[in-house]
Amino acid sequence: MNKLFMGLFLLAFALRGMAQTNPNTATGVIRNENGEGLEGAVVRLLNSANGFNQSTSSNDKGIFTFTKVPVGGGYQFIITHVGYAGDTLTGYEMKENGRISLSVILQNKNTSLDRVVVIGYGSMRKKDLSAAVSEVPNMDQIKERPVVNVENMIQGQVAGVTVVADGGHPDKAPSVVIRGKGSRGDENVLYVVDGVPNAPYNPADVVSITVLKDAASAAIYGAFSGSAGVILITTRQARATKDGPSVDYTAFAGAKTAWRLPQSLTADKTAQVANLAAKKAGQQPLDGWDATKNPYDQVTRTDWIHSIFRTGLVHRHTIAVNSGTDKFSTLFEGRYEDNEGTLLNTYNKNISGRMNANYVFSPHVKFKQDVFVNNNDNRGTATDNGYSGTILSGIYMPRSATVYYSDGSFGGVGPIGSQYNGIHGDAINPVATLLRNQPYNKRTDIQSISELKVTNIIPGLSFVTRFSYKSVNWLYKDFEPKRPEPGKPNNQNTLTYKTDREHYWIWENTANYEHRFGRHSLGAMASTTSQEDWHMGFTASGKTIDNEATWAQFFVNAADFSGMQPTDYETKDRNVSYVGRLSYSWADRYFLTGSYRYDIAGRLAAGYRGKGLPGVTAAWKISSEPFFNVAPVDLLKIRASWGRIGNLGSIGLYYGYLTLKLDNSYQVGNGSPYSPALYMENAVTPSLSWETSEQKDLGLDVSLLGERLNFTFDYFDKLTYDLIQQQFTNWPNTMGIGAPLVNQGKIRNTGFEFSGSWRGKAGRVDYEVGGNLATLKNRVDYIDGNAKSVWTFTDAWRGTLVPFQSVVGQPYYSYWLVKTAGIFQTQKEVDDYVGPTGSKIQPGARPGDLKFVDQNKDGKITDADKVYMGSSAPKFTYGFTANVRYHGFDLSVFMQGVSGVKLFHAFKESTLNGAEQGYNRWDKILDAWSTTNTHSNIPIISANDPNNNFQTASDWYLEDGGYLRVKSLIIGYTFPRFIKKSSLRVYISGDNLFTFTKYSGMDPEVGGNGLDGGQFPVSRVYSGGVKISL
Amino acid sequence: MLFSSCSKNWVDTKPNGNPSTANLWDGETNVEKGINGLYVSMAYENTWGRNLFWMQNASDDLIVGRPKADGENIKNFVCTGHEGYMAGAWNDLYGTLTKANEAISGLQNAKNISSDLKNRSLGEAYFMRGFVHFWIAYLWGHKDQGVPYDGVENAEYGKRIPPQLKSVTDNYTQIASDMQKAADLLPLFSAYSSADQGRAHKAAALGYLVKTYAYWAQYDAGKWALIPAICDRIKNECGRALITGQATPADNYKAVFKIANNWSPEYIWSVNSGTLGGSEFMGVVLENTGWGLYNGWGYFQPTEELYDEYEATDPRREATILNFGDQFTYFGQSRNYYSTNSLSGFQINKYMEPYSYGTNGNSGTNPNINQNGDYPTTSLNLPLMRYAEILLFKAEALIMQGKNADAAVPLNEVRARVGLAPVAVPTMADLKHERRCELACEWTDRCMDLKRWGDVEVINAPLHGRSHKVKTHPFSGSDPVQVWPARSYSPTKIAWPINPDVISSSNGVYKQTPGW
Repeated sequence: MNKLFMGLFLLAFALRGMAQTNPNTATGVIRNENGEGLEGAVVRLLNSANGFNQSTSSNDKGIFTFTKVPVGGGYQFIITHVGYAGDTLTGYEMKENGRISLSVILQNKNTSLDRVVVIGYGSMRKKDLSAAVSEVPNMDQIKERPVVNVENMIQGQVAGVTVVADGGHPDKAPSVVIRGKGSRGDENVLYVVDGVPNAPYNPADVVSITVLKDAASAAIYGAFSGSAGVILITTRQARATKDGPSVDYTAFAGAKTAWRLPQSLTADKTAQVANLAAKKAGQQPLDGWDATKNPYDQVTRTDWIHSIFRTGLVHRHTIAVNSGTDKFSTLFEGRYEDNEGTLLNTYNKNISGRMNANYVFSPHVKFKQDVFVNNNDNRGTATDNGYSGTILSGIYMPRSATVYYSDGSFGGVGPIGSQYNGIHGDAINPVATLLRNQPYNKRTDIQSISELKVTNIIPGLSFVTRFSYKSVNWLYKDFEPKRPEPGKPNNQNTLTYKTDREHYWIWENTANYEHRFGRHSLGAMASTTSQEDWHMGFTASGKTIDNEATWAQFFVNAADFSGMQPTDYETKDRNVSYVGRLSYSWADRYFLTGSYRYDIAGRLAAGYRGKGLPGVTAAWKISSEPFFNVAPVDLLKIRASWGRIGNLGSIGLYYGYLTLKLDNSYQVGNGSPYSPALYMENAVTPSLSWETSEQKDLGLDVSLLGERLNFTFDYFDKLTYDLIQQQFTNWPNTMGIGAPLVNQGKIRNTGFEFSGSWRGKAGRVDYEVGGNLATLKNRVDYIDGNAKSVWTFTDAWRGTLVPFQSVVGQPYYSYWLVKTAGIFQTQKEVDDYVGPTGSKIQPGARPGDLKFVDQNKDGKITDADKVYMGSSAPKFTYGFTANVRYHGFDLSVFMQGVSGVKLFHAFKESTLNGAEQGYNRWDKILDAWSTTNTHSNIPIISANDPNNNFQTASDWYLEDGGYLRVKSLIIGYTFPRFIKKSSLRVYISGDNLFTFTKYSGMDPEVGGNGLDGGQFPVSRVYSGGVKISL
Repeated sequence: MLFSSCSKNWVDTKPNGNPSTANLWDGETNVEKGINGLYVSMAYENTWGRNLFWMQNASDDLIVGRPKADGENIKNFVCTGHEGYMAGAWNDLYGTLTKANEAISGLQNAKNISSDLKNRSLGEAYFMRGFVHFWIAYLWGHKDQGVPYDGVENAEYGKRIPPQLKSVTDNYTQIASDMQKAADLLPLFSAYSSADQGRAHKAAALGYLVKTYAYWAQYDAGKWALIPAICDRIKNECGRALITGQATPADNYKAVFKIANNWSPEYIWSVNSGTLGGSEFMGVVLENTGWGLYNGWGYFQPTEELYDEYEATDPRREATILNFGDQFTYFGQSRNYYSTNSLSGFQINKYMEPYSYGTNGNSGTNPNINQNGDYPTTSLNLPLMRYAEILLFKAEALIMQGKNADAAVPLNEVRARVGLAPVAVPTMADLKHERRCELACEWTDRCMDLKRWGDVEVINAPLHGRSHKVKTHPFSGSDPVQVWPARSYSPTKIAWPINPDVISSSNGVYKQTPGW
């Protein structure tokens, strides 16, 4: 009541003042539902009779005024304000020296722009953001997909965030890169869950995901951001319930299949190819391939590829009980999740429990306690090894072989005792590899978060103290049985134990202050953080266990521990940080923030431990300016930011201390015993510090037509400098000691990002469409100042094909390859291909061999002919979503794609190469070049390769890895009424339904840096789900 | 400020476990571990397990036993230097070279050790520095461009990229000097207890001094004159001698390659090997898949040319080469050799003794082999240099100085041990024949011999083997067959190419080997 009087008094005072100086005045005050004056309301005064048409906007007290309003009737006020329902008042008349005064209350629309977005160490209204911060859209739909990690959930949803799956491995999460790779080492995104870095959580609990894309917003996490950036996750919290406890059950179950699988040659074709290869090389074909001498190996008995793949089951069940009042509320949850891989005996399982409780001691004192326990069990397989990878083994194995011998033991390349097994090379039965892998591999994470929040200590000042503690216990026991079957036998069995125990705690104390005076709004935040990550563990092994039965797989039965030195460790990583942020805005028009974080890291050498990382942002909300008066525009804001983040993870622990490497020799002592050896492994640079990314961002946010159309546009320029890497230039391996880590080099990423959405209604159909696209240009900006310097990468296929090298101006991890110009069709073509001296450029070539381009025209094919040919980092990424609702039905489609990707299909080296061992091969080899099949691009089948067709890292391996995937399709029905107050929703979904790509490998999402040794596809999943609330 | 400095102390946690670098040359245990560091690479596949052998395989004695493009390209002298077989070996040799440099420097100020241990350790460090330097130098060093080397004695050591010396002879100068120092500091092999066998010793240092001079002599014939006296020291001072006195001349020679004689008087320097580790070369040359009983790799196979080099009565041929029908013992069972895999129809026989142990053809019962088929080491040491080679170098040195009659003594000592008639006045042809037959399929590098002798046409001749009519039958008849086409080696390619990545990381300091 008091407030109302006060308001009226002020209004009266103000109106009287104006009336004295300005006759013919129309004035008024605009308030929100709480009676507070609303600033920035656009008021338009119209009169169709006399053509009057002016607008103005309300001041910080909500008052607006029009002066010199012509006398007349029929005046109309149209009042709009972002976030509020507009109002129109008609039928006003202006008399000579008269005055119109009105008082309007606008109703809050509760719009999306008013939504609060979680940012680092706080939150902010979406419309006030001045940094490049993106919320992941379509969370409701994403959570219904049969995917079990957040990385998969965000793929394709946010412009500038590139997610690449590591094939179909159930135990491996996709990699996430924000705005391009900038580190020479591991570049992990920092996940902050409910304010706690790297806390474990149940992905089914995720309520929102925010990506801090620019360095200015991520700078608040300083050196812990990783040069990749920060993703903030909020999870479901306990709430007050009105009618007693609520129980929710959500679940999905799906069937996963692999697709686009290659096939190997049938037995008779294997022999044909081997004989052809020997003949072409002028060699005697081996007797084993002779059908009369060795008929056994001519009969196809096994389809290896289909023996190792299966239909996997993925399912997750979550049950949650929520109950509480305004004073005290609790949430209990349980989850079970099993994600089987499409390769035999691979899976990832999680069982978790959670308790979340909120206590409100007084309106200003709140306490939250969260306890999360997760048990993980997973089993994978290596597919990327050029010698023993399971899928490659599935190709290498002769199809004359059987999975099992008649006695039930695993089969080798041929019958035991066969004289001809040597023809097959050292191929390994992949079913045996998969099924013999039976480790105990369990990890328990226990996370506790305790948070006390005190508000209004003085008006505007709040304080939060949060202590989080995580304990991790991991135990791994693996018994590797003997591999007696012919092929690549190993008569040694081994038992290995590994363990790791971790505790990680972080204590944060954060004070926040907010103050408004006049049209100024001021915020300040200060925080200190201390944290410790401790690990302790050991590895021990024993061998020669006579009895391989499960009960006997214990050290007590191991006869031999020689040469198996156990290892152990205890490490402690401590860090202290000081964080501060100031923000200021004026009149809802101008926004400024500045933040600074100072990190002190124990892992660095003394004297070089501390470093500060700043961030600055500014925004101008043009739509709030009085002069800006465009009715359909709800929001128009331009923003700019600059900031720096660090990548502490780029440096190992205890860098400041020089320790020796423990190795061993067998040279000393009769009988060649194990003798420990010590030496210094790497040279050291004491002044080493972490890598830093500096990023500039320019952005535009627009919301139109009652916020039905929204879009955001960003340009960024991200420079990662002081890269940490082993010195390459000026440190050849003749130095004889591992090169030191140095801070050297810069990588730049620039790009444009666009995302937009449209919400509409057509009759009774509600729909939303959204899309995002981003460009990315990645290049090495600086190596060491020497124009000739390069970065080499040791990634190699079977030790020989080394396809990567970078130079300034080219992408990081560029392909560096000899170009090919097709296949020599005739000997004349070979003979005519001569260098400047007239001698043949490819003297070893025969018709059917690859023609390599002599780029430097020196008459021979060497590394000097290699050219840079792009990289696996997509130049263009995009995603598109459509959600449609009609009555209780809904349909959601999500498509995602990349282009400008190059992949190196190294799988071809091992499977289309006639000169590689005696392995079986990909059936595509049947299409190899021959005098009767001259259009093929596969070189001739030959047991020797004098032309180095396959041993040359050439663009023959390079393929376009662009794709468009129909990532997800969901059709659901929500029952309008379902037994009293409860609700029910059911849906079916398909994941990875279609992929459009030119890539000839199994799947264009090969992971890593594009070297594809036979990566297997992300699974196609058909699933169904249910949500019940009681 | 106070708060901040507190934090700085609080975050400063100390590492656990591995000792700090400050303690390496303090106390006998640490010094021994530091010296062990010099020997680590002896057991690598990259070095004397297999990969250094790919370059020796370019001789006329052997072929690549199974399709292997990198190996074939090395043999055909069309390699680039990128081949992991060459590049990896280079890398590990330089790693050991630097560890030896660090040891030489660290031992100068070593604390809490006896002077005996200090001298021995220093001797080991000089030996290992010279030894790995020798391998790098002779493989990649050229008369007009030596290999990169820096010694810890140089003021710029550690502050610069080790420079390519002007000529490989400059490398040999340094190697000879290290071997001299090592010979002065090291004890005799006989002074070692069984626990120290395998360490560098005086005869090994003198032996590599001989070999260094012998290789150097292709550029400076004066070096031949230095060799005989050192050979005599190896015999008289170091007590090195051929194994003789067995039941037959054939047994004399076979005894050299027996586990029991790992440390015989004939031993000069070997890769010490056992069932845990050492050289895997024995498994590398064993029949591919070991007739289904063990993981043989089947890589290097002898040629008809080598087989035919032997005199009819020379028992070394059967001891060196397995031919179809030859009898041998394999995991306790008698077998007659046949192979469906060997491209030449032959297999190296010298290192088969460790496979004779065990029973019933079960490799798991053999106590003398590593059961891990991915690292198939055995209890038989891999000889890198034995006394017979010293005798042959002495003979070669005398012949090269025109003292052919004097050369008869060492040459015939080698021949007499295997029951062959003496040669009265040996010529270079006799020496070449003897060296080939005595040392065939060992790590003495016939390819380098052919290069330094200038026998280009021998290298380039096509190579042959035997194609047996029924390859699963030990006594099947055979036809001669060409198993390797003629090659086009020329003396411009006398030294092997350097990995181009090393050249690029040197930032212009290194040049590729001349001729490549």
